[in-house]
Formats: sequence, C-alpha cells, structure tokens
Amino acid sequence: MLGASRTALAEARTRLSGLGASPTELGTLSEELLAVVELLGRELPLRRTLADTAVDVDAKTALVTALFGDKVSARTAQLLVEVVGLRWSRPGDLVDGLEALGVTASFLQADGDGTLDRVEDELFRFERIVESEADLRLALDDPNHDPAGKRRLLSTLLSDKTTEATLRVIVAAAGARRRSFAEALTEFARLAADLRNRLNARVTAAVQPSQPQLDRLAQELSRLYGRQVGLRVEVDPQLLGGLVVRVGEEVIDASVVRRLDGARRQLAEHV
Amino acid sequence: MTELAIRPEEIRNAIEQYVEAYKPETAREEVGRVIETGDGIARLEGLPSAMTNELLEFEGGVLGLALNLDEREIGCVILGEASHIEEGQEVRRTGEVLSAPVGDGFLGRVVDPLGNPLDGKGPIVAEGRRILELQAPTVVQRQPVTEPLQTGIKAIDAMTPIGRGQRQLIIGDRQTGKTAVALDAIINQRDNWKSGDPKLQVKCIYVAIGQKGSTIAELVARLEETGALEYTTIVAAPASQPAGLKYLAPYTGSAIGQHWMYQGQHVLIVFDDLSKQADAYRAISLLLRRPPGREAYPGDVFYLHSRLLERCAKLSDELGGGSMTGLPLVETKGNDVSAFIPTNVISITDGQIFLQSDLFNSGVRPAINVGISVSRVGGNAQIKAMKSVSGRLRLDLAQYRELEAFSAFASDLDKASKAQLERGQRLVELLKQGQFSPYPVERQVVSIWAGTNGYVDIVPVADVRRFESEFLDFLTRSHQGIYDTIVQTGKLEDGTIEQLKAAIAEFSKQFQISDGTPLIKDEPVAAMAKGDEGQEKITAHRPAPADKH
Repeated sequence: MLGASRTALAEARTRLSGLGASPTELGTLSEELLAVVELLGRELPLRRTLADTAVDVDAKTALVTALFGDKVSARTAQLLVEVVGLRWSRPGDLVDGLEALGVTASFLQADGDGTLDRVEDELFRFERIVESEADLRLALDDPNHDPAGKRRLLSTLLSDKTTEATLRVIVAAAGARRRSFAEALTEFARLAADLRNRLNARVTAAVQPSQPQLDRLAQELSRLYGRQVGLRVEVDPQLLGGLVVRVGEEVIDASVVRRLDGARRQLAEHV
Repeated sequence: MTELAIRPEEIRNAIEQYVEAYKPETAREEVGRVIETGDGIARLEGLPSAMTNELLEFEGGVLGLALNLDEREIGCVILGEASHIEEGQEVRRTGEVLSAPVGDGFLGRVVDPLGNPLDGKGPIVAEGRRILELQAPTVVQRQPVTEPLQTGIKAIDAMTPIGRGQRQLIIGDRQTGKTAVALDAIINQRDNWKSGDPKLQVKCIYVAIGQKGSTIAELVARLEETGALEYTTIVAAPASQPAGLKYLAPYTGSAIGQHWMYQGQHVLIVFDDLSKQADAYRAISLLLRRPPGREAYPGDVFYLHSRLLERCAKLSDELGGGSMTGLPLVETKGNDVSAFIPTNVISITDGQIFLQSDLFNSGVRPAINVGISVSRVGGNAQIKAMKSVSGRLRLDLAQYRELEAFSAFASDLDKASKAQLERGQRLVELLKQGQFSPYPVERQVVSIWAGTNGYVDIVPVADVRRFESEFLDFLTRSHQGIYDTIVQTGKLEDGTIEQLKAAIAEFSKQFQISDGTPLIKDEPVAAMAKGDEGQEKITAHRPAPADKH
C-alpha cells in the first residue's frame, strides 16, 4: 500500500485501538469487518463507489449506513463510516485496509484474553502444516473455490483445536485476494507482531536447540534488529547442522548444508 | 618411463587443502521465492529491497537480472541455464548492480556477456569491475572528433571517413559484407598496434550478438591468422544463448571499452548486430508483459540503442583524450533503410555506410551506396592529403550513377557525358577492394589521386585494378619517397604532385594491357602519299683516272 492509502490505514488503526472495546466486542467487530471485506471483494461497483474520492463523504456515509446500519453492530457501523471517510488511493486498498483492521481486531481480542502468544503460535504451526500438505495448499490457494467451502473445510479441520481468533484469521487468509494463502498468513502474523512492536523470527535447526541457546539467539537477534524478536522454532534434519534464521524477507543461513554447497560450487567453478 | 600413480589419499588431501581456502561467511541476506518461470523469465516474490538491474542468484548459482520491479513481484531475466529453476526455489540478492570485469587481461580473449572466458584459455585477471548502466560522458567531458580512424578501405576512408570517437552505422541487407567491413577496420589497426605508440594504438572489441557459433569461430580464426586477435576482445552471445545475454552483450562490450577510454586510450567497438539485440530485447519485454509498441518493440527500444551508442565518445584532454569509436551494424530487409530500428539507429549515429545488395551482386565490393552513405563528423578527421584528393570523388561518382541510369536508354551521348561515364566506370573499379586487404592511407591517397585526376582514363576498365596495384607497387620500389612525404606531412604538396605525375607517366609507358599491347602505344606514323617517297641517290665519286701522260 502506498501514498494516501498508507496514511489512511495508520489513521484507521489508531481509531480501532482507541475504541476501548472489550475482547468479546472486539471479536464481534472482527467477525463483522471480515464479512464486509468478503462482500466488498465480490461487489466491484460498491467497492468503487466507497473508495471514489470524487464522491461526497456524506453520500458515502449515507450509503454505508443504509447498507450495513441494521446488519452490523453500532460500533462496527461507526468504524466503517470512519474508514470510508478516509482517503484511499485505490478501491483495492480500502478493502485491504478493512481486512487488516478486521484481523488486527482479532489479535486485539486475543491480547485482551491473554492468548495472543497462543494465537501466534497456532498460526505458525498451521502455516507449517499447509506448507507440507500440497493438497491442502492447492485447495486453499485455488481462487475458483467457493469461499464458503473453504471456510467449512477449515472449520472441520480446526474447530476445538484452536482459539476462535485463530480460526477467524486463518479463514480470512484463505479468502485473501491477489495473494497466496501462505503470503496472506505471513502478512497477518506480521500484524500481530507489530501490535507488540516485535519481529517474528523463524528458526530452523537440525536438532531442537536448548532453551538457553534459544534465549541467547533471541537476545542476539534483538540486538541485531533493534527490536524484540519472537522465535518460532522448527526442526529439519536435512540441514545437517547449524541454523537458518528467517526474519521477514531476510535470511541468516548458517547451515552446514549451505556451506557444503558453497564449497562444492567453489570447486566446480575453478576445475 | 615410470608409471604415473597417485594414491586416492593424495588426491583427497589436495582437494581438502583446496576447499580449505573456502571461507564460509554468514550474513544477513534477503531471500525471495520463484513463483513462476518459463521462457528464460522468472517472476519472484519477496526481495523488497532489490534494485533495478540487480543480479539475483538462483539455486545452483545461476544469475538473473531484475528488470521489472512491481508492487508484489519482480520480473527477472535468467542469465544462463534456466531449465532447472523451479517454482518455490529460493532466490538471493547479490547486492550487485549489473557489472562486468574489465582490464587488459581481456585482450585476445573471447568472453560471454558476463565476462566469463569462453575460449578455454583459463581465467581472466580483471583490473576491476565496471557498472554496465553507467551514464555516458557529458557535453563538457567531450571534444570534437578530429583524429582519423583508418579503416583501410578506400571507399570509406575517402568518402565516409571515420574519426576516433565517432559512431558510424554500417547498414545493409544480409550478405552484403557488413561484417567484412568491420573486420577489415579491426585488422587495419595492426600496424598502429605494432608501432607500440599508445597515441596510435587502437584496442578493438567485437561484440557478436545472436550469430552462429560457427561464424564466431571463423572470425576468431581469421583474426588470429592476421595477427589482429592480440589487441581484440570478442564478446560473444551466440544465437543459442538466452535472450537476456544477447540483450546485455553490447553493454558489456562497451563497459570493457569505456575502461580503456577513460585511461586515455583509443578503442574501436563493433556491435554485430544491433537488430538482433533489439529482437532479444523485444522477446524479453514481451515475456515480461511490457506493453508492445510499433513492430511489437517496447517503448524504450530507442533508448536501448541511444544510451548504448552515446557511450562512444572522444573525451576532453582533461580526461586524457581517450576515444571510443563505435561501428554498430544493423540489418535491413529488402534494402529498406526506413524501417523502425534502422531509422532509430541512423538518427543516433554520426553517419552511415549503406551496403546495397544489387551493388554487391554486380561485383562492386565493398558494396557502398555512395548516395545514401554519409559521415557527419568524419570530414574533420581526414588527413589533408586525403581531403584534397577525395573532394571530387563523391561528386563524380554521384554524377556517374545518375548518367548511368540515363545512358541505359540513350545511345548517342555528347562527349562530356561520355567522358563522365568513362571516368565513373574507372572510379568504381578503383574503389573495389578485396576482403582482408586493407590499404595504408598513403596508398589510398595516391590511388584516388590517380583516379580523380584522370590518369587512369586511358586504361581499359578491365585493367584498372591491375594498373592501380602495379602502380602502387612501382612507387614502393622506385619512388618510396612519395609515400614517406605523404605519411610525414599528411599533405599532398605541389612538389609531391609533380613527382607523382612524373612517376605515373613513367609507369604508364611500361604497363601492358591484358591483350598484350603496351598501354601507351608508339606514335602512329601516317602512310606516305604517292610521290612523297624520295629516293636516295648514291653517287659514287671516283677520282678521275690520272692521265697517262
């Protein structure tokens, strides 16, 4: 998101955190916002009208109130009116912004419950599962699949196993437009980390590191990036030894496999 | 003879020692992922800080070039073997904007557009790296073109002269001798190179784009044979290479040349040919889904060539006065110089040499069309002697071409037209020149002097070339002083002209035309009229016998 949309999103976020709603209320808010996102994703003319900077704000407010006023809670309607009143440079950005708000609301809910750590962990684990299950990935990434079907599939898989907030975020990621499920999930995980001004690091090791080792790693990474870093550890024996740390787009690859590969290439280049 | 035996442990130890030199480093790297690949193109996600024209590294060490930076993805051209690149593989940034290794180590070598050797002569020691997309010298960094760059081809050096730092387009259909002209120009720099004088020496770069591998091999062999390879670098992107490499090859060549130019040296670079580069760029652009324009070329195809050719320059004296002369080649279809790419390049360059296929087929080689070929700046770079003799040549030839068309219909011509035609035919003969036989400038001057001043008008057309070559050799044998004067003074002074006149008169007397008769026949003697004949009378005077008294 660029330019005006970025400012609008920051503004909308401030409004959201300034609501001071209870966790339950935030849950409803999140649910409703994501439903609106799904609707806007389908309805191109509505999306265009709401993001059209040439249309008078009052007209847009009236439209939102008329459409959603009696279908969503007053708090949601109020937030929608505020968000639509902001300046978005593209219709898609408005929808993306609402999506980010909806997901953030879920995380805020979890934060209120004190389950945010669990939610983040569940998101990461599920991402790993999807990564290793090609069929599941294909089903979730297929844009032609019916969103309701995807939701059913995810509910069957995850109900009773995760928190309500996790399921909601995962369903939102499956319905995400213009990007793959994995990408959307990574983006949402970043929103959760942003909430606590943290970075997520994905650590892959050949054997499970001990807790003191992890603590040292976290400390070292925090020093490197100047922010608190939360670790997500997975074990992959194929690395043979060493660690691979992935923070956002950056990778610190200190695995044995990579070094061997480098040595082999060195040999092949000069012979 | 002892048998050569190396124990496996020894080999293992040797390799171990070798690999020990490899110091793995762990650093923060940015990593993206391939989301789609095919046709030598890959689309990547991630890598938010990648730069345009940055080299990206795929798994297995293959490099790619980031060309399209979009909001969510990067369009990338794969420079190398693309078959094992798959969706989902990791791509790393190298942090290095496209550059090429440069230096004197490249002389005599054949390299690919990334600077890797292709000739199996071992690694090249580079003096440094040079960024490919560097801006050309600015206005204040340049100076006008004044020094000649002799191609050794009479027709070019006389009528469309090339100066050091000039960009002269060589354009024509396929098989009209474009490459031959460029190659002769390279070979003709041999004497300059041998002189060892850095002011004279010209380092040459030949960029082969989309050509047959066999053609390139033949060219290398030819350069080696003539001793021209030692001062030449060949950047080869044969037809089998992916489009990305063909697109890059000219920039690599010019980076290697610029390195020398900024050191105050002289460089000649041949781009053979730019139409193939434009085709490669079109392929890349279409695959990257850039909007196509005229003839499906992308909108920036003009800039593709203009930014390349602007790098050829004559630098100011503050910058060392180095130069890079560019000879771009462009192929036309059906002798149409007004197609898209030809007009683009014509408008960028400082002149063009148009080689025409019908001239070529009628035996005029090099098949230069005098009417369309021009050199916009080279006139200042001609030596005075050449300027003084070649002034009329263009005019004479142009008039001849005009008359020739006209005389095909008319049988009776006035004397002046006839003389013009005769002169034209001989000038055309005189400008014919075989491949790989470049002429030093003093021989060119003498040859053209003889032609434009009518000294070959008496020679039958079929004998003109033999007359010329024998006369030039005659001068070497008996009047070397004339050549020396022209070389030293650069001028054709009246004294020299007198000497030349005497020499050609002397030579004409001893020249035999091909039917065996002498060129200058003895004065014909008219038969005497009846009665004119006289009779010598011999009168014997004898002393009268003495009287016998």
